Amino acid sequence: MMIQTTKDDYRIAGLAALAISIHIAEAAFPSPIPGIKPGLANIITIAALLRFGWSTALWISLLRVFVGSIVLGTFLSPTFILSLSGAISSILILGLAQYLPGKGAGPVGYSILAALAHMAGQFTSAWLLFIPHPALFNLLPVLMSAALIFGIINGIIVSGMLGKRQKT
Amino acid sequence: MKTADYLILIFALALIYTLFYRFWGSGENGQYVIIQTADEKRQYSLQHDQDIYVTGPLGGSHLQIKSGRVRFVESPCPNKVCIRHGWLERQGAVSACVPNQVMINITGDNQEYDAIIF
Repeated sequence: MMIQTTKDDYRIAGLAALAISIHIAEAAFPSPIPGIKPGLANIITIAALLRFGWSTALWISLLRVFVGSIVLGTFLSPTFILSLSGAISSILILGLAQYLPGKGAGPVGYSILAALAHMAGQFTSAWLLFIPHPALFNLLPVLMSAALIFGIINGIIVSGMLGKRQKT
Repeated sequence: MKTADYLILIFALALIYTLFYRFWGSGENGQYVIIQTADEKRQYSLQHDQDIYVTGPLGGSHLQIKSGRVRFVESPCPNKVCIRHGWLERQGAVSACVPNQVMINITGDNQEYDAIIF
C-alpha cells in the first residue's frame, strides 16, 4: 500500500531539510563560549510558524533536532538532550505566544521568545541532569543576553525573508 | 514590529536585567573566617576589626580583619603568595600560606559549595 502524502508533508520535509542543513553547517563553526551559538536554524522554524502555522514549525524543529543529531553523531548524547530540551521549550513558548494580544507577535518577537526559551530549557536540563552546581547560574545572565541578541538578529532575518517573499 | 513584539522585547530586557542583578550582583559576603594552622583551627567573626597573629613552622603570620574582610599582612614564607592574594570577603573564599601551614577560609550562615565532584 502506498502511503498517502500530502502537500504539507512535502513542505515540512523541504523546510526541515533546510533547517537541518543550517544546523549542521553551524555545528562546524567553533563557538567562542560553550552554549552560545547563533541558532540560525531557528530562522526556518520562525518563518514556518508565521507562514504555515504552529504544527509545521513543531515538525520542523523536532525533525531538525533528531536528524541533525543523527547526522552529527550526537544522538542520545548530552548534546542531543540539551538540544531537544531547548527545542521543546522554545516550540511550547511559541505555541503559547500565538494567544498574545493582537493576534500574536511578529518575527522579531517570536524569534526572541524562541531563543530565550531555548536557552532557558537547555540551561534547566543542563543544571538538573549534568552540572547541579550553583556556580552554573553565574553563566545564566551572559547566556540569556547572547540568546536575546541572536534572537533579535534572527528575527530581523526572518522579517527580511518573509517581506521579500511577499513582494514577489 | 507589532505591539506584542515590543512587549516581548521589554520582557526580555527586564528578564536579563533581573538575571544580572540576581546572579552578578554582590555575592554573599561571609560572616566568619576560619583560620587553620598546623595544630589549631579557630573561627573569628568578620564583624570585629582585629589583628590576629598565628604561628606556624616558619614563624608568625599576621592576619588582619577589617570591615568584614580579611587578609594576610605579613608572613614568613618565601613567595608571599598569601599576601598578594589580598582581601577576602565572599563566602567560600580561601587563601593559604602553604609554607607556614596557615589556611583561611570564609564561611557564612548558608555555606556555598566550592565544588561537587561525582
